[in-house]
Amino acid sequence: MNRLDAETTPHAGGGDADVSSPPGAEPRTAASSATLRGTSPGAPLQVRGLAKRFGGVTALDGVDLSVASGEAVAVIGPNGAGKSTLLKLISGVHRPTEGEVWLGKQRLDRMPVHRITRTGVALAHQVPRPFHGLTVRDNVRIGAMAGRPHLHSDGIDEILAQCRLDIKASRPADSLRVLDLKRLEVARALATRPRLLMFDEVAAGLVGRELDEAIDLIRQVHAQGITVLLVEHIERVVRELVDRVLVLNWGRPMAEGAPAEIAANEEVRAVYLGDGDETRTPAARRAATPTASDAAVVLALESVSAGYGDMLALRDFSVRVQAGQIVTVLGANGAGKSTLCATIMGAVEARSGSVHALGQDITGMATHHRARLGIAHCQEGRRIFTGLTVAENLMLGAPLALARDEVRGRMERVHAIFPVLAERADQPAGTMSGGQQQMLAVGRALMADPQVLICDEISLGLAPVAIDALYRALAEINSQGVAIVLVEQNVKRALGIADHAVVLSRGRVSYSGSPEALLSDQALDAAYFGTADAASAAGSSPPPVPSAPHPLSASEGDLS
Amino acid sequence: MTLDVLAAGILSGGLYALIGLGISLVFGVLGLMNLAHGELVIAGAYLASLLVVDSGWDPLLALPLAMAGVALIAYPLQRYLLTPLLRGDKSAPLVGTFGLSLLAQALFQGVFGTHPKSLPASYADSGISVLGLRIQTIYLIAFALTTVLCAATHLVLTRTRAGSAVRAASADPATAAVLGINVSTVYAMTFAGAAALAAAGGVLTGVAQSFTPTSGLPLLLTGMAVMALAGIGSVGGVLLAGIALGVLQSASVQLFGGGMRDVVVYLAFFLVLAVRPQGLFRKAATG
Ligand SMILES: Nc1ncnc2c1ncn2[C@@H]1O[C@H](COP(=O)(O)OP(=O)(O)OP(=O)(O)O)[C@@H](O)[C@H]1O
Ligand SMILES: [Mg+2]
Repeated sequence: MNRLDAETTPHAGGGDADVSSPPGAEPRTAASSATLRGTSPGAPLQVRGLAKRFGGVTALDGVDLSVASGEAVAVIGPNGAGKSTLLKLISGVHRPTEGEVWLGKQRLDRMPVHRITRTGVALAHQVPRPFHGLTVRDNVRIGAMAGRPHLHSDGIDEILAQCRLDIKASRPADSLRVLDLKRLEVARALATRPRLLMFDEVAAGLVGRELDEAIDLIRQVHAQGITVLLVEHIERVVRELVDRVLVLNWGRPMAEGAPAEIAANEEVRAVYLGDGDETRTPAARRAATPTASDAAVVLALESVSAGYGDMLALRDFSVRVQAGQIVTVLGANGAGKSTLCATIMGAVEARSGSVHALGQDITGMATHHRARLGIAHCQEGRRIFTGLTVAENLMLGAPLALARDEVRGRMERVHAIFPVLAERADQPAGTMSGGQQQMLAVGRALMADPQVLICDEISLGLAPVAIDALYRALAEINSQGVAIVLVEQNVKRALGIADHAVVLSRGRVSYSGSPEALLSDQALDAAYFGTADAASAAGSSPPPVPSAPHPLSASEGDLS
Repeated sequence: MTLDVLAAGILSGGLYALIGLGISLVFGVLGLMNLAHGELVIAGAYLASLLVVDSGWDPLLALPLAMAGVALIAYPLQRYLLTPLLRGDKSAPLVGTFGLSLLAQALFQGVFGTHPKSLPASYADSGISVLGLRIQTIYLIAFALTTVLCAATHLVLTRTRAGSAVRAASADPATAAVLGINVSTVYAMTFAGAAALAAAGGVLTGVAQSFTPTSGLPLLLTGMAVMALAGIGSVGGVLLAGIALGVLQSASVQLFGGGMRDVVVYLAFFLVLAVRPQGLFRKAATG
C-alpha cells in the first residue's frame, strides 16, 4: 500500500510563520502570535454535507463543520466512526461521495491532491506511511520540497528537533518504531508549512513526559495561528488543546460543544466514553490467584539480557508468571518492554540467561515452535496482514492443523468481543479503521487459544468503550487460567487488572511488586524515571513529569 | 493478422503462462529470482522421457509423476540450501540458483547426453479443426491443462488456510512466525509447488518440441518476460500475460519471419519494465 498521497508529496503554501517558534508561550487563541508576524498563517475550514461511502460501507454521512482561522477543534467518536475518513476527505486522500470542503475561498474537494497540499492542508496520518528506503531527514525534506518559500535546511533541522527526531535523522525511515513513525508523520506535515494542520491520533501510545511534549508541540503549532483539527482518544489531549469538540458516531455528527459539556453528555458517554471508571478501580481485581507452587509457573525468565547491535535494551531481567496470573510490565517508551516481549517469543535472541515456558526450556527455540507451544503474542503496532481479509487474518491466528469447527468456534468467541470483525469479515484488513485494525490484532492473538498471552500495548488507538470491552475479555480469558503478560501505557487500567507489576527503566527493572503500591503518582514516577521529587502538579493518570537531564524518549534508541 | 495466427498465439501463450507462473510464485512469496527455473522445466521433460521413451508411457500419464518427482527434488533444495542463503547476503540466493542451473545442465549432459530428445505421442504433430481453424492438438491440450493448473493455484492461494499462510509469510515473515507458521516450510512448499508447475510445462514442451540440456535458458527468459508483463501477485495476470506474449510472438513471426521471434519477446520485456514496472495486469490495490 505505498500509494502516493497528498501528504507524501507535499507542496507547501500558506503563511510565513516560523514553524519552530520557541516553546513556552501557550496562548489558547492564536490571534496574538499570528498578528505579531504580520499575515495570518491560518485559514478557515468549511465542511458542508460531507458523505463518503466505500462500497456498501457508509463511513461518513452528512457532516458539517466549520473551523475559524487559527482555531483548534477536536473530532472524537468510537472506532470506525469516520474520524480518519473526515480528515482524509479534507486532505484529498479520498474523494467525497457528497458534499463540499472549503479552505478560505478555495474549494478543495475538486482539486488535485498536490494542489490541496499546496493550498496549505497537511495531515499527520494515524497509520504512518513513510517513504521506504529514504532516511528520516529525506522524508522530511520531501515534505519541505515545494514549500514557498522553501524550508531551508536549518528549518528542517528545527522541525526534526521539535519532533525529537534529530538524533535519528540519518536513519532509514523503515527502521523506526511506531512512536517515531508518528513523529515523522508530524514532522513531514509541519515541513509543508500548512495553514490547516490535522493530527490523527499522534499522541496515542505516549505516556508521561512524552505526552506532555506532544501536547506542547501541537500547542506551539496552534500558537503560530495555524488552524488545527485533532483526532484523539486520549481525553487529556483534547481537554488541554481545544475549545470545541465534534463527536461522530456511525459517520454522523452526534454532538458538538466544549470539552466539559461533551464529557457530561449522556449519549456520548454511552457510545464512546463508557463507564471505564468502574473497571479501572484496582479493587475490582479479586485475589483469584492461588499462591501456587512452582509447578504452576508457566513462564519464567532468569537474568535475561537482550539487545540490538552493540546496545543492550534489556538487562538481567527475571520474572515468574503463574497460570492464571496477570503480570503487567510498565515503563516509558524505550524502556525495553517490547524487547522483552520479543525475547519471550524468540524474535529477539536472549544474549544471556534462560527462558522457560510451559515446562520447557525455550531459550533457543524457533519462534513458530514457541507459538505452537501455547504462547501468543499480540505485537506492538498491530502487524496485521493488510492485503488479506479480516477473516483470513483471524484464521491465521489458529494453528493450520486445527479442525474447521474448532476454528469457527474460536472465531465466534472473538466476534463476541469485537462484533465489527464479524460484520467486516471480507473487508481487506488494510482498509479497516485504525482502532478496528487494533481489534483485529488482538482477535488474531486470541484465536491461538494460548496458555500464555503476551499483549504489547493492545489498547492503543481504541476508544474508551472498546478498551472496556477488551479488558472485560482479558479478565474473562484470565479467569480460565490463561497467564497474561500485559505491556501497557494505560497505567491505571493495567494496574487495575494485574496481580503483579514490573516497571522497566532503560532496560533495567526499577520496580517489581504489588500493583497497589504503584498507584500513587510519586511511586510510579520514581519507578518510571528514577526520581522521587515530582510529587507536584498534574494529578491525572499518566505520571507527572520530572525535569530529568535527558528526555527519555530520546534515550537509547526507540526500543520500547 | 489472420485468425490462424491469433489462435496459434493464444494457445502457445498457455505454455508460456505455465512457465511464468512458477517463476512469479517463487519471486512473489520468497522474493527469490530463481535462475534455475528453466532447468526445473527441462528436468520435468527428462524425467518424463524415462517413462515415455524407455517404457512407452503416454506423456500425459507421465506428467503427474514428473511433477511429483521434480517437486521432491526441489523441496530439500529450498529447505536446506536456498532458505539458509536467503537469510544472508542479498546476492547469495541469486548466485545460488545460478550455480544450481549450471549444475543441472552438467547433470543432464552426463546422464542423458547432448542429443536432442523429445516425447513421442500420437497428438504431438496431429492437428484438429475447430471452427475451420487448424490447430495443433498438443497446444490445445497444453492450453487446457494450463488453465486448470492456474485455476488450481489461484484457488489454493485464495481459498485455503494454507494459501493464506503462504500469502502471510510472503507479506510479513516475522509476524507469520509469531503466529506459529513455519516460514521455512512454507518457502520450501512454495518452491516445490512452483517446481511441479515447471515440470508440467516441461512435459508439454517436450511433446511439442525437442529439448537438450541447455534448452532451459530461453524458457527462463520467456518466463521472466511473462512475470514482468503480469506483475507480482496475480495468477490471472500471469495467464493473460502468457497469452499476450504468445500472440505477440506469433504475430511477429507472421510479419517479420521466425528470426525475430525472441527479439520481440525481449523487447516487450524491456518496454514493460520501462513503462509499467509493476506489470501490465497488476491491480493497484494489491500488496
Ligand atoms: N477503503 C475503505 N474500504 C472500505 N471501508 C473503509 C475504507 N476506509 C474506511 N472504511 C470504513 O469506514 C469506517 C470509518 O473509518 P475511519 O477510519 O474513518 O474510522 P475512525 O473514526 O478514524 O476510527 P478509529 O478511531 O478506529 O481510527 C470504518 O468502518 C472503516 O472500516
Ligand atoms: Mg482513525
